Amino acid sequence: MTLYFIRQAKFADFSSCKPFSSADLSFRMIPAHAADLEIDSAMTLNQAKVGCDVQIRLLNGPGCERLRDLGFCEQLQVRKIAGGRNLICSICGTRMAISRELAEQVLVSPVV
Amino acid sequence: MTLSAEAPSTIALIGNPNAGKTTLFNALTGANQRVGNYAGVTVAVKSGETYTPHGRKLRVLDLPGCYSLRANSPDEKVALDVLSGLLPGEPIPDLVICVVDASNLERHLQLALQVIELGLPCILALNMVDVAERAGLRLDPTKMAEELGIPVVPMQANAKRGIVELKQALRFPFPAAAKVSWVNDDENPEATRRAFVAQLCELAARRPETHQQTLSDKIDVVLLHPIYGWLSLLGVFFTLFWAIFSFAQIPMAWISSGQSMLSGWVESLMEVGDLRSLIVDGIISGVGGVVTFLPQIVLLFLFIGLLESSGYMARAAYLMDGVMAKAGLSGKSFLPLFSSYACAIPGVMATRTIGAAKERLTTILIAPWMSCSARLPVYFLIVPLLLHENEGTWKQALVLFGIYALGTATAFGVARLLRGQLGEDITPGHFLLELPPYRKPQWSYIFRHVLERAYSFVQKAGTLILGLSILLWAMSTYPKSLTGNSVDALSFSVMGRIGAIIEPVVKPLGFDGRMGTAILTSFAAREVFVSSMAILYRIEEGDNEETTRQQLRDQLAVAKWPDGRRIFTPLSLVSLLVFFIYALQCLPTVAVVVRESGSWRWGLGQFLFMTGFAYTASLIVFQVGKLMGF
Repeated sequence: MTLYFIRQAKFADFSSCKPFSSADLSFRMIPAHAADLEIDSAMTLNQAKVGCDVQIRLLNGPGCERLRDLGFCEQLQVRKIAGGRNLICSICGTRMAISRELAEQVLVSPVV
Repeated sequence: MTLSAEAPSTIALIGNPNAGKTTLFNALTGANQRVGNYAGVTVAVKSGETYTPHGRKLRVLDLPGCYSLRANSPDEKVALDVLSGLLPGEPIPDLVICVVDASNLERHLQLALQVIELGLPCILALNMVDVAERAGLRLDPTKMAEELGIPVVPMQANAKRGIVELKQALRFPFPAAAKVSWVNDDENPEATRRAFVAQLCELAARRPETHQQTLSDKIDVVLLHPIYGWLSLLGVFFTLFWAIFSFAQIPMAWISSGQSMLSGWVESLMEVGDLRSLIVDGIISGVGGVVTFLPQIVLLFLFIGLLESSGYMARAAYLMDGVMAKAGLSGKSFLPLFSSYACAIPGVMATRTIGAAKERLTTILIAPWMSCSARLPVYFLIVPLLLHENEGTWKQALVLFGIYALGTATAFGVARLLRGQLGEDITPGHFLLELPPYRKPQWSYIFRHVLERAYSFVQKAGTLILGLSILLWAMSTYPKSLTGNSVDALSFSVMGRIGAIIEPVVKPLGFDGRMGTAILTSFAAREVFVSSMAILYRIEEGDNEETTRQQLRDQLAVAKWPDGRRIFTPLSLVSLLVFFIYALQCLPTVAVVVRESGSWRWGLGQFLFMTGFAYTASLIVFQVGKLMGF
C-alpha cells in the first residue's frame, strides 16, 4: 500500500511547481498538526526554490524516521542547493542528497 | 575474579558514518583499516589493541557507522548488536567512545545521547575540531562535558592530535555511566533529545549565523552539474585508465628487463637440464609474468584510494543514481560496485550499507562483473596483442575502458532482469547520502594501503602462483617423449593430454587445448592464466632466450593450429577477453557471496550462471564473428 503511494508521488512530481492544494495536505497530514501550519505558506521540500533557506515544519510519511535520524527534524533550517532527480540540501552544515520521494515527505515553510 | 581482571576490557567506537571512527581506530591501535571520505566504508566489526598510559591492555572495537539506534541496514545492525551484546562471541563493551564530527554536532550528538541513554560508560571524542574551527564554530568542551555528564576530548584523529588525551581519559576505573538529565517520561524522547542538543549547541558550539559558501560548495557547482558533472566523471575514469596504461610502462620495462637478466644469469650458471628448465621456464617466466603487472595494480589501488579519500565517491554515487535506477538499483549500490573494480570481496561486503534486501542481493550477484584487479594482467596481456604493439596508449586505454564498460553494462542489464524476477522490496530503500566536504587525501594511509595491496599481490605470486607454476611446468614436461621434438613433448606430457581432452570443449570458442588448460588453471586465480600461457607456449618454441612479456606476445602471435592457421586471430582474442570479463573465476568471492547472501544456493548459482554466461558469450562472439568473415 505504502509503495503504491510512493509510486503515485513519483509521477505527481512532474508538476512540482503546481500550487499546493489543500486536498493534498489533508491526505498527508495528521489533522492535529495541520492546524499548526499556515497552510498558504507550507510546501514540500520538492517545491521549495533552489537556493532558498526553509524551515522544516512537519515530517510525514514512511521515511520520516530515517529522515529524522539524518538530521531532518522539525524546526531546523535547510538550504535547498539543487533540485532534480535527487535533491541536495544543506542541513547543519552538512550536505545531503535525498530522493524526491523522501523530500516529498518533508513539509517546509520559507524563513522570514 | 582474577581472570576477569586480567582479561583486557573492551571499548567500542561508535558514531555517525564518516565521523572518523576508523581513522581514530587506526591511530589508537596502529592498524591500517580501510578509511575513506564517504559514509559506509566500514561494514564489519574490526578489533585491535591499544594500551592506556599505565600500560594496561585494551581491546578496541571499530563499529560500522550508524545514524541512530534504529538499524536500517545490515551494517548498522552489526553496530547495534555489539552495543547490546547480541553479536556472538562479543561481550557488551565496558566503555563506549562516541566519535562525533565537531563541525556537525547538531546531527551527531543525537546518536551520542541515545548511546548514553543505554547506560554504558561513555566518552565523547570530539573529532575534526580543526574543520569546526575553520567553519567558525566556537567549541566549549568543558561546558559540553558538564552538560552531558561524560568526559569530552577534543581531537583531530587524522593528525593524531588528542590521542594522548583520549588515552588519559581511558584510565581505570572507567567513568561511571552518566545520569541522563534530558529524558522525562511524559514526552516523546526524540523531541526532548532534539531540544537538549539544540540547547547544548547554543551553549557550547555556537555556529556563525550566516551560511558560508565553502570551497566544497564551489567545487560541487561544477562536479554535480547535470552536464559538466558527467563530463568530469567520464574524464576522471578515462584519466584513470590512461594513467594506468602509460605510467605503468616504465616500471614494467624495468621488471621485464630485470627478469630477463635473471634468466640469463641462471642460464649462464647452470647446465642444460631439467632443473634449469624448471627455474627458467617454470619459475621465472611463470611468476615473473605475473609480477610484471605489479605497477598497474599499484596504480589502480593508488587512484581508487585517492578517489575514496577525496570525497568524490559520494558525488559519483549521486550522479550515477539516475543510471542505476534504470537497472533497478540506486546510487547506494554504486559504492559497493565501484569497490568491486579493485576486488569483488570488499565490494560484496560493502553491500551491507544497502538497506533494501532485494536491492542488496542484486548488487551482490552482479558485483563480480565489475572487472577486478586480478583480471588486469590478463587484459594487459591480450589488449596489446589485439592492437599491435605500437598503437598509442590512448587507444589501448580506450579498449580497456570498453572492456570495463562491457562488463558493467551487462551487469546492469542482468540486474534489471533480476529485479524483475525478485520483485519489489517490502520497504523500498530511498536514495539518501551524505556528501562529505572534500578533504585532502590521507597520504600516509594511502601509501600504507597501496603497499599492503602490492605486498599481498607479490605474496600471492610467491606462493600460489609459484606453486602452480612449478606444477604446470612439471605437468607440461613429464612424462617425456622419446623423440626429442618439442611439439611431441608437450602433447605427450600430462598437460598435453589434459589439453587434448579440453580442446573439443573450447574449440568452438576459438581456443586451442593449451588455452583451454590455461583457462582451467585460472579458476585457481585469474592471474595464473598469464603464468600458464607463458609456460605452455614457451615449450613449443623450445628456446631459452629472453623471457620477457614482449617475447610471450611474440610467441602467441606466431602460434598456429596444426593446419597452419594462426590461433590468435583478433577474433579469438576478443572471444578470450569476453570469457574473462564474464567468468567468475574466484573461489573466495563465491565464499563471501555465500556468507553475505546467507545461502550457498546464491553463491553456487552465481558461479554456474556467470561461468555458463561467459562460455555462451564467447561462443556467440566467435561463431558469429566467423560467419561474418573476421
